Amino acid sequence: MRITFLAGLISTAILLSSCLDDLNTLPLNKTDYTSEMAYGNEEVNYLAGLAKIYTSFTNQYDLQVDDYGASEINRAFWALQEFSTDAAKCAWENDSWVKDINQNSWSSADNAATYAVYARTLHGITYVNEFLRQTTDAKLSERGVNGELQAKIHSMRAEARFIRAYLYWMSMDIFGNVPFVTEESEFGAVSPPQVSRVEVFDYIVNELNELSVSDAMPAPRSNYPRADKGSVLGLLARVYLNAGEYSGTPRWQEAKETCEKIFAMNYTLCTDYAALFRGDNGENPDALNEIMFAIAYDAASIQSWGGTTFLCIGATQVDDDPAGALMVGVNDHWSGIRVPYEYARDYFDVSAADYVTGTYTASSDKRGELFFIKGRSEEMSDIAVFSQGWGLFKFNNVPHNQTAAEYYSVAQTLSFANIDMPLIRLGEIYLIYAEACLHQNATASALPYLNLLRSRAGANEITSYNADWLLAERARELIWEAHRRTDLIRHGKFHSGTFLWKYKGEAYDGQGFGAYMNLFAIPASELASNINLVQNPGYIN
Amino acid sequence: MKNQVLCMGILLFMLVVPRMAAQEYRLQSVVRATDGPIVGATVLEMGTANGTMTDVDGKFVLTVSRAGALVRISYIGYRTVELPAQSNQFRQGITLEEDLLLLEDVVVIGYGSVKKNDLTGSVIAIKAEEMNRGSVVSAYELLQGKVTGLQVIPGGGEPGTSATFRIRGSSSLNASNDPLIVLDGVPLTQNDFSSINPNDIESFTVLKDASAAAIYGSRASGGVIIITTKKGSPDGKKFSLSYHGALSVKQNTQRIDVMDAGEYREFITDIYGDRVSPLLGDYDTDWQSLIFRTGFMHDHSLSASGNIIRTIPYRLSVGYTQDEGTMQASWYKRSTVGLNVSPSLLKDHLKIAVNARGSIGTGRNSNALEAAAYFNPTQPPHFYNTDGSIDYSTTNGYWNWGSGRGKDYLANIQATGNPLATIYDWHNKGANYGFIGNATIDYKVHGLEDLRFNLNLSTDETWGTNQRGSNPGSFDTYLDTAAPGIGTYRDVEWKSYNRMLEFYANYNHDFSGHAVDWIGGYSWQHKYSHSLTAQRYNADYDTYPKDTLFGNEVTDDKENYLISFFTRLNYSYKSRYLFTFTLRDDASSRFSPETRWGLFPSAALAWNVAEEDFLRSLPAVSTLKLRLGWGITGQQDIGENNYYPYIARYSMSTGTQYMYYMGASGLSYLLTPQAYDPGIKWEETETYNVAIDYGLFNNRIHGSVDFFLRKTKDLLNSVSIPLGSNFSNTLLTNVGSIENKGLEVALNLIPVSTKDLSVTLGFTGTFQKTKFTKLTFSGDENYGVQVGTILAGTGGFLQLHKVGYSPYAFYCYQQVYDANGKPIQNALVDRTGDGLITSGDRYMVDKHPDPDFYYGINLKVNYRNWDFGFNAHGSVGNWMFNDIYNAHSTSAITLGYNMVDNYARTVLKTGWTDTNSDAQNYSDYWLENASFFRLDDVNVGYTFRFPQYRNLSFRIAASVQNVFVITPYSGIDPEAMGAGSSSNYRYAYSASSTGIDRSIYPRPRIYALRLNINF
Repeated sequence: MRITFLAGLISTAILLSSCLDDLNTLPLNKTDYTSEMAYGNEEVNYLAGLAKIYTSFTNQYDLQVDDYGASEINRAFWALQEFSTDAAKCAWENDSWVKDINQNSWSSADNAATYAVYARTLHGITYVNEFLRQTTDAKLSERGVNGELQAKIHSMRAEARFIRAYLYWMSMDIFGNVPFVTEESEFGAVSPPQVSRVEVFDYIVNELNELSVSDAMPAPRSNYPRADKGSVLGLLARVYLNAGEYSGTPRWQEAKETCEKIFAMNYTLCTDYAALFRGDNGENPDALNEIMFAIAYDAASIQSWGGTTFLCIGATQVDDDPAGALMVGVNDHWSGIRVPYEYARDYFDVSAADYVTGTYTASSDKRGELFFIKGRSEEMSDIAVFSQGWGLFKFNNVPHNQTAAEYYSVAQTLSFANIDMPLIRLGEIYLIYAEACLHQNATASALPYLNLLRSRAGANEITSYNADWLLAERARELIWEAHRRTDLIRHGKFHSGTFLWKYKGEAYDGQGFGAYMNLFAIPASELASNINLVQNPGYIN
Repeated sequence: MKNQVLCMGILLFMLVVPRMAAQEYRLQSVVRATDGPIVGATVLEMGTANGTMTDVDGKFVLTVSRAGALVRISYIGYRTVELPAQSNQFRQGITLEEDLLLLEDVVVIGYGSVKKNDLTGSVIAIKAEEMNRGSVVSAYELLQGKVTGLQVIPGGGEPGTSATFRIRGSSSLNASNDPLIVLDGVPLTQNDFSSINPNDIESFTVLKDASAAAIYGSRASGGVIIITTKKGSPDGKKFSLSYHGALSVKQNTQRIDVMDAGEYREFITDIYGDRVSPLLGDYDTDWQSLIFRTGFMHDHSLSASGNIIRTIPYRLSVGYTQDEGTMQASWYKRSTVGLNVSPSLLKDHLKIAVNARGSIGTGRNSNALEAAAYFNPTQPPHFYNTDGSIDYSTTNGYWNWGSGRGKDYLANIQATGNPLATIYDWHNKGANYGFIGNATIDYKVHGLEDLRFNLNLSTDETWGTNQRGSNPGSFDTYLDTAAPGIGTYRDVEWKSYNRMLEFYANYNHDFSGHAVDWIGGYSWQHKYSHSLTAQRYNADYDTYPKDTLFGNEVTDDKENYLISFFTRLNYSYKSRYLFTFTLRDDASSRFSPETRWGLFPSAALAWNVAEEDFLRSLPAVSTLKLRLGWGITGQQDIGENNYYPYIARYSMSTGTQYMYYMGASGLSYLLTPQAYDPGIKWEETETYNVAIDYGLFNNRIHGSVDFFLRKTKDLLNSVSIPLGSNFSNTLLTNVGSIENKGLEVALNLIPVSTKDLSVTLGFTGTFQKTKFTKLTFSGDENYGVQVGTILAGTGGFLQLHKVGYSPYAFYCYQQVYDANGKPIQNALVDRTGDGLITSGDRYMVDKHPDPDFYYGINLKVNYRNWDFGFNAHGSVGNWMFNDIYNAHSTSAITLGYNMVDNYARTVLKTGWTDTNSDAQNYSDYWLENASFFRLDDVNVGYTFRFPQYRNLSFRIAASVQNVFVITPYSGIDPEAMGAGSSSNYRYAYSASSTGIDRSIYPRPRIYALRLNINF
């Protein structure tokens, strides 16, 4: 009896413990794998991990937000950089966040655009950190990855770090002191620490310098649209350009040297300025000669409501004649963004505007020929009336060698844009170089580069320049490329009471506003959830 | 699992049937009540299947195995008597005592049963027969308004829909609030019992408080509903046959109030003049009358039960229901078969019960109410040829917005399809199959009869296929970018099971008044589901032949294991002092090894005051019991899509629109890590229950009063987390607390109870209040979780979970009204006073979708062979956002869309003509009080009895269901918050629309004629 009982007990114990093992189940779906199962030792999986990181710029998903389309980084960052200046006003003033950006009246209250930039940059950074954690040499060898694939993954890691640096640059430019997390940081539901702007600046500079000489970072122009050494130096040049603002210490010499390294990389200007922003720019070899880093939007594989789709359909209205699709090649019209007339007037010297026929003249500068004014007006007495102001069709989904009608008849879909969004291009580098040379008293060496830009635009060549001219030339060359706010800050004109534009500082004729607004407020909701955050000075929590 | 079958084998090994020797004894007696003989009382020799029934004079004759054999005499409504056969009392005749409360009845609780009188927890047991005599197609109707603390929220009037159950309100946010439903020991996978033939149901037991439910541990936070089905009778009745049939006519009673063609033409032309005339036709089409019809339903079930060789009781039932919806082309068919066999061997030492239950359901749904309400009434139903016949060349003959005809047709993508096409112009083929089966082996140890072992093996399986899509050429197919004008259909096959093994030991002994009933056991449960979904071409398209796959096939496999150890001790002293203690240790594969085990204790005390001598002298008090309960239950059910919330998981994108161009490597899919919480753990609910059961004047007045308090902590909750530390800004984690409290009152009156006339009036009422006490890690009281999307607007939310408020509390802008009390469009109160309407101007309206009080009333009258009754239920203090009118509150339209819809008459009420601002969409103007009283059914029946023909009887009954609703609510149905869950839905309703009315399939009024035959 006792033995039977004991045997029963033992067999029960064995039986139960085997059942308890059932609790250690793992996901059954391929779409739901753990990191080990998901990566394995196939290149395609690592590539997909890196592809996710590239789509940080276009991602509308994975975060809970009110308007997912408006939460894309490129669209939100663009809004902050352009609506807040003289270069663009958005007609959607019924949305209080739009009004706050348009009229420089933002506060610490939640703002869809600042939240999107804050959230999407950090979100992309967490993906990079995870990718780096999952691709350490130790992990790779555990999964049996070595040799050729391992070398490819080293390159992917370098690209991922570049993206992280880019995202940190965006976040630091907008918010100054930002939360800082790397692959070493704690994971879960913890509050990341906040670091100062200068620390982020130093981190970015270090990362980029390291990547620029790393064997893992792909060679310039080797694999468009993926990041390469040209992209790394391009961002570095931009960061140095603004070093005074970011760290308190200008780095003009480094900016100049960085540009010179880029000049050795065999980039050339695209011969047709407009073609840089057309639907086929990612396939047009001429455009690719100039683009150093771009986000490859595609009507089939991205389908974003931000980025270049937004720049196309946001700029048209339903009453435009011909309809938007027959001009910018995307079949929707959001009546959102346009350029205040004064900007066109001051920088492109436009005249003879006829709002019925839509004709005007821009004094011999092809960059000024991309406005659309039929049915629009000079007046902007009501910022919410879209037709007030000048339309700009710089971003145009129709390929550079097709007419809109031709494209319309062959396009697979007209719902989204195919235009790759150039984030860094040689034209900008020339301008950075010119600004660095100006501060280094070496303008002579920059003049040939500036005149390359001038002659491409069909504009007269110059023999000398100063800071104001350079800011104006940036206004022409880089219009609507999300640089304007940073440029105005660097030139001391963003909050100034002397450099005015319509609606600046909540006044129709414009007025200055607080210098503290050179940084945006950290979103209030995030201050409530991250206990380590301190609001930027000047904002009330 | 394989190993576990061995356990069963060991028990089967003991299956040897010894021969019995006997000295027979012939027993003859009469059974009476105080007012006359009892006809049809059951007389049974205990421990055997040997029995009989009393005749018209109450007499019976039974030959038992020996003179000392125990004989049991039972009759519903009377106390059961057990006596040795040779007892003197048989010679004098047996008089049964009235027992209106059936206190001697055995109530099925988890892993066993107790006498009703000995219950300690908050447990309500109801026999199906006593519940509802109307026409019942879905079993949930049996429970509506009958049990305090149980809310049954029907899913709408569509054939085959089920209901949502809430026991004592909701205490979880992201985790399930559904009660556990256990059918004959099988926990059901689906939280509904629409596939069960209601005629097979013997009784329901609802376990409400933690002390009662805790034995089910982790699955029982939402309470438990135990369903026991009818069995073959172990008594002497050899064979009986019964038939239930019903024939019903269903009539729609609800419409959305929109303009008719003339009114509409005039109204829209007034505003838009000539610009709108090209969009108006010359017809006068009442779309809503075109989509509704009178529906017919018939329902049959036939059951046979008996006892093979007096050892193997069995019951076999078949059922068939054909239900036609009141919306054209919607229907549901269900066939069921059920078999149970429960042999009792080795002199009752070995009891085996095998239950098997199969069902096949098919159906087709229509959901065109909103489309029909708003489709332009000046346009015709069809395209016509010049000779007046229907022109089938364009969108299959149904009139639709667009330009051109035939091959030149260009659909207007801003438009919705013709409501008739929404109903008819699509196809749906498929069936759902279900099988629920279990085998239990219960062995009473020889020589130690107080100890028994019970093994239960069960499975709940469902599987099926479904192909559905728009017909080729239909309007919808023009919106299908995969194959414009041809379209694709969805092809799904699935299977799922929920398998369980449970083993427990039970020791039951009465130590001279000290009764001890102990169980200890182990439970293993495996839930698995698989589905394969594909999109295929409807017809030949380009180079693709019909049925070619479009895109990828998507397979989805999921599993979850639950393992538990449990024990319970029931102790009672002379049925006066009762004590229950339960402990359950549960593990779920959902959590990490560090957090997966949860220990859940509970205890309850009860004092049967009425059994005390000092109360026996007070004859007016027939029942008085005080109950006190406490317990903790756990919750881990956060849905099938959250089986691994503690592991970092990666999902590879599948659609071509989720790719990125990776240079020389070409397009790449995206590999996305999902947010996860390595420390996620059990949600815990602590419940306190204080109650009195009372009965006066021989229980002519009886009922109970329960007060409960439930506190849930570590809510499984999706909350905002700091960015940078995880892969999302929200995370499913344990944070927050919620509190429910309530008072439940049950009152039953039996003013008359004689052999000829009996009247029973029942009333159940529940007051309840739920509020959040914590929602964030930091305890920040200003934080709110946004919930509840609405039709208008760009993805904003209407409701807020917030500390101090009820779940889904409305969070709105405050409407501004003019001097006449009319709402002014886009004028909202600037509560912050900053001159702008921003989200800061929203406020907590302090109104919520949960009722403050809900109740049920029922009446039953029996007079001789007549029976009459009604059932009603209602609620007070629940508010609803009338989203269907909110979305149609202004006459502003976009002419550029080249189509115009009809207007709701609310447009006349508001007088609004501009486009609504986004804030306007979230105005408190559309909050309405949705309190209601609904007369669920009225029924009358007559029973013909022919005791001379083996107790043949039949009952003919007539009933009206959904008789009327009294409510201040202006929408279709104040109970429109239920979730539709039928798998043959073409358009899924959003299940989380608590308190937001997005139009449901109206519930029809049903007239039914019913026939029951028992033989």
